[in-house]
Formats: sequence, C-alpha cells, structure tokens
Amino acid sequence: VTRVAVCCGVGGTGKTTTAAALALAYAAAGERVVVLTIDPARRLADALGVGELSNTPRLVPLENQAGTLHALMLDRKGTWDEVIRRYASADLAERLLDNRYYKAVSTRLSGSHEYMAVEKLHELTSAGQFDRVVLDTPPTQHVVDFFRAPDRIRGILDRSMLSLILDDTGVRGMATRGALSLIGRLAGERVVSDIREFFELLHELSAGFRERSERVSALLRAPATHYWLVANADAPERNDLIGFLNELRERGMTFAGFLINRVQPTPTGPFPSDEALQQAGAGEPGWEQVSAALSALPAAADARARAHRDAVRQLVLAAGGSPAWLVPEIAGGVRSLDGLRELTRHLPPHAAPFRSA
Amino acid sequence: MRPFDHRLVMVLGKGGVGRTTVTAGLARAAARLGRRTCAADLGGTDALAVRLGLVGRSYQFRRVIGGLDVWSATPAECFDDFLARKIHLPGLARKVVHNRFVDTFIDAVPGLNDMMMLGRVENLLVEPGSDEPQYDFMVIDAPATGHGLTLLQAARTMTDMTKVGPFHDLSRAVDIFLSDPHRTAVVLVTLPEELPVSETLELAADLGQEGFRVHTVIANLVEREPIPDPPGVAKVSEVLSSVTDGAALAGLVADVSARAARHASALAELEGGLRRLGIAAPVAVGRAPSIERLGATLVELL
Repeated sequence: VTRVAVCCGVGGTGKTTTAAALALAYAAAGERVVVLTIDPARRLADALGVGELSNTPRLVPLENQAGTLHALMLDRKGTWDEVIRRYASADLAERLLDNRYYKAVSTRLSGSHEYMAVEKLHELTSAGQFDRVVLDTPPTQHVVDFFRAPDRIRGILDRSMLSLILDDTGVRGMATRGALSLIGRLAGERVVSDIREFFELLHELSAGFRERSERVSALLRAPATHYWLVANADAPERNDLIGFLNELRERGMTFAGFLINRVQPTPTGPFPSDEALQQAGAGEPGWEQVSAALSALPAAADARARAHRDAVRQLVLAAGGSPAWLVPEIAGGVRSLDGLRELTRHLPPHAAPFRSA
Repeated sequence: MRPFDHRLVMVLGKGGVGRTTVTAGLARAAARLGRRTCAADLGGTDALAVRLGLVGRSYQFRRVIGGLDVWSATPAECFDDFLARKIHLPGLARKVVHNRFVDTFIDAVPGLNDMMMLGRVENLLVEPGSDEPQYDFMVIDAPATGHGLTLLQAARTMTDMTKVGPFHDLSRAVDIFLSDPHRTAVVLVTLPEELPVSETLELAADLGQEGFRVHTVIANLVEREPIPDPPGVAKVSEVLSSVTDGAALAGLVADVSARAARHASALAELEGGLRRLGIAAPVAVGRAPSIERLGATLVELL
C-alpha cells in the first residue's frame, strides 16, 4: 500500500517547502517517496530539479540516502481539458470544449485545481512504484476549501442533479421548468441554452467521471492517507485550522499533526549585562542607542518565542492534543537541498513533537 | 486621493498575510477621519467582526463604534435580497427558488456568487433603501474563495455571459463602479517575504491588464533592522566578541538582522516591481499591538 501524506494550509505558510522537506525526511528514512508540488518557488523547484514544468515524476539526485526521492509539479494549465479528453469521445470532447458555459466553468470554477491535484494523487498511488506520496495542496484562502473542492465538482456532476435538469416531465419537471424560466428571466435565454447543452454533454460522460471521482474520494478517506496542517508561527489562524480539523474528523480521516513554520527558538543566555554593553563600545559614536537596542534584544526574542509557543499550545489544546512540530526559520531561506535537509532535522520521522507541558 | 477618499476599498491578499487585520485597520482609520464607514466581510465568517471586537457574524449592520459598522454577507443572503428588492419576488416564491437545483446552479455559474455580493455592495453605496444605513465608505475583506482577480472580474464575466436581463444590468453597474478609479480603490496586502511578494506583483500585473489599477500595496508585519548604521551590524558583532557572554547576543543580532535584511530585500523587490507597473511604493507596517493603533498608523502613512 502506498501511504499518502497530504500537506494542507493556507498560502504563504511555507507549505510547498515543508512538503518537500517532509518527503526528503521519509526518503532519508529509507522510503521510496514522491512529492507532488504546486507552484514551488523558483529556487525550490531548481533544488528539486523540477524547474521546468513536468507532469511526470523526476528523480531528485540525493547522495548517501537510503531511499529515493522523486518530484513533480502539477501542470495547472489545461487540466480540465485533459480530463475531458480522457473521458469523452473525440466528438463529444470537441463539442464540450467549445461550449461557452464550459469555457467559463473550466477557467474560473474554484476547486478544479484541488480536484486535479487529487486526480494526480490517485494516479501516483495506483502506480505501485512508491512507498509514500507527499501532496502539496493548492493555496486556498481557508484550508477547508481543499475538502469542499472535490465535493463541489462532484455536486455538479451528480447524476440526480443532471437528470433533474434534463428531465422535463412530471412534477419535478415543472419545478425545473419554473427554475429554468426564472434563470432565463434573470440571466437571459442564451445562458439557459448554454447550460442545458453543457449538462447534456456532461451527462454522456458522467459515468466514467463519477466512477473515477468516487475512487479519488475513497483515496482521500483511506486509512493510509494522513493529513498534515502547515501553519506560520506568526499567524496561525486557529479558527480556520480547527475548522479544518473538525471537518477532517467528521469525515473519519486521519490527522497526523501540525507543522509550524518560522518558529523563534527560545533564546538561551547568559547575556551580557547592560553595564558591560554600555562600556564595551563606549568610544563608538551613537553607542548609547546601540547598547539600548542590544539590551532589548533578548527580551524581544524571548517574547516572540513565548508568543509562538503559546499559540502552538492553544492550537494543540483546541485540537484535543494532536502533536505539533516546531520548525525554526532557516537563515537565508531554503535555497538548496542542503537547506531542505536542515529542515528535516526538525520534522518527523526524525524529530519528536513539541511537548506543551 | 487616499484610499479613504473613495467610496469603496477592496482589500485583496492571500490567507495568512493579515488581510482581515488590515481591512479592520483601514475601517478604523476611515472612521477616525469622520467617514461613515462599513467594514464588510464577503466570506460569511466572523473573522472581521472579531478583529473589530464583536462576536459572531451577522448579515445585520452592527455598530462597532460611532461611525463604524461591520457587516458579513454570503451569496445566498445577497441573492435573496436581490430577489426581494429587484425582482420583487414575495417570500414564499423565494423559498421555492432556494431548492437544491437553484443553489447548485448559483454555485456553478462562474462569478455569480461574487457578483451577487458585489451587487449588494454597489446598491448600498449608490442607492441605499430607506430602511438601510447610508455609508460614505465601505472597505471589503475579499471573500475566501478564489483569487482577487476572479472577484473583480466576476461582474465582467457575468456581463459577457448574459446579454440581457436583471443579472446583466446589475453586473454592468457593478463593473462600472469597480472600474471607476475615483470611486473604487484596490488595496493589496502582502508579507515582506519572497513568495508573497512575487505573487502580489503577479496579481497587480494581472489586475492592470484587466483595467483595475492597484491603488496601494500594504506590506504587513515588516521587521526593521534593530541596529543603527553606523556603527552597523558587523561593527557591533566585533565589539560583542570581546564582551563576556557576548556570543549569544551576537547570535540574536544576526537572527534579527537576517530577518530584517530579508524583509528589506523583499520590500525592495516589491517596490521595483510596482514601479515597473506604475504603482506607488508599498506602505510598510509592523506588527500592530491593536486594531486601533493600526488605524492610527494607517491614517498617518496613507
């Protein structure tokens, strides 16, 4: 069984980097790992060797590692078209790709990106080539959007929904006609005819699509699929994270833990006394100001470290005791595999979780 | 013109950059300047209300302080309002409309969700009903779904899809309002880090191509270099090397300085990118101890 680690979190939290580091950590522990990244920053992409857009896994050259690491980057462009072409006959695909409503839906429907990521995940787990797939998820405003996306896509493809629109007879037909006529009144008849055609075309391909989306959905709920939540120590959106966790648990999915980025380490003194600082540079112009700034630094760093740990403690408490790993900032940012390697020292399976006691 | 001199400010930015906090700060700032202000959340959450010191979310206009209300909307609430006010559909008929089919339809039509909410905002500002509050200024915490560009484009998408009818009229009115640089200002919020900066520049460029000018970019949580120059960090480290227990302190100086330097270089990158797009230099704010203070700072800086 291929195990899956899904890294969720809002944009700007260092999620892509963390996913890559987590993958490297498992590879170092001897597993055959593949990481599916989404829009990695240039330097990370270069470090992983996926600088050029690639929908197939590439081997990341590692020295002295027990396992292997592959990386790929999700191709955002034309992902919907790809799926349509896969499930529809050539003629049907052409007509669908030409439909005005489809064009609007495929380029703007939120959730399609997430859906495509999960589609790709399904492909990678089916290959049997890897022990573990690490999935970086598309950046969303709220982490829960990740779950809603596939459901939303499925809702649109829902067979009962399609037949409701296409079935014009009986009482149900009357209600549908009423609703369609209201939409025609509000939005114009052309929109209604575009939408009807869209759903008629979709109806023809919905069986294959549905079967696939159900398998994808089952994969998200599988016991071997674990979820990680990545957050920024400076701004962990607790309500958002806990909301996500609740949805996760309602769905019976497994939560692995929090990975908190950019955590300030607790400063460990001893530090020089104020008098010593004042004397040390007494000759320097403007030293008074400097020594005051220096004197204030340990307390400021300590306050920041405490604030970060308090936030994590509250998060862990609200989550009912789920583990959290604290990952410090890497000086200068992660620019290379060495930078990633430095991160892995603070991540599972190597590092122990934060003890909140 | 300052952002507050417009009728509407759209605050865009990804999750985690402090967009909601900045929205709340801008609202406090506008109220401070005597504008009758409404801080609006279009994501259906309590985040903005909580930042402003209230509990929970509500579609009612709720008073925060004198001259400042907070309001939270969902597409369904705005759609219902639209059917009642513009189509004059009675309550029972509106209930029928809210069946699964119509709800799914609304969810599936691109831009309709966003357009319903922006239409409500435009109505409030341009022709408020006799039962509605009158605002000089609304500041919007952009909704959770999608991208800022999609939100601003929603009205145009809808105008293109529908050639006639009430949706068409409403979306045209919204598009005209949003594209008018005298009435609407777009404010982007970002962090002084590499990835958020490049995303912000990308968004600003995309917005520009669609005819939306970015008025102001606010870089949030910017840390400043703690050591003045002269003498500078190198000199200070040298001095510290001769002080008892100086090494640990030198380590802290290096940490904070590295962060401040990273922020400064990200800000420089942002400023350069914005200049190439013909957009003013970003406004940098540090961590604000309170929304009130942030409001005061924004009045000063903007």
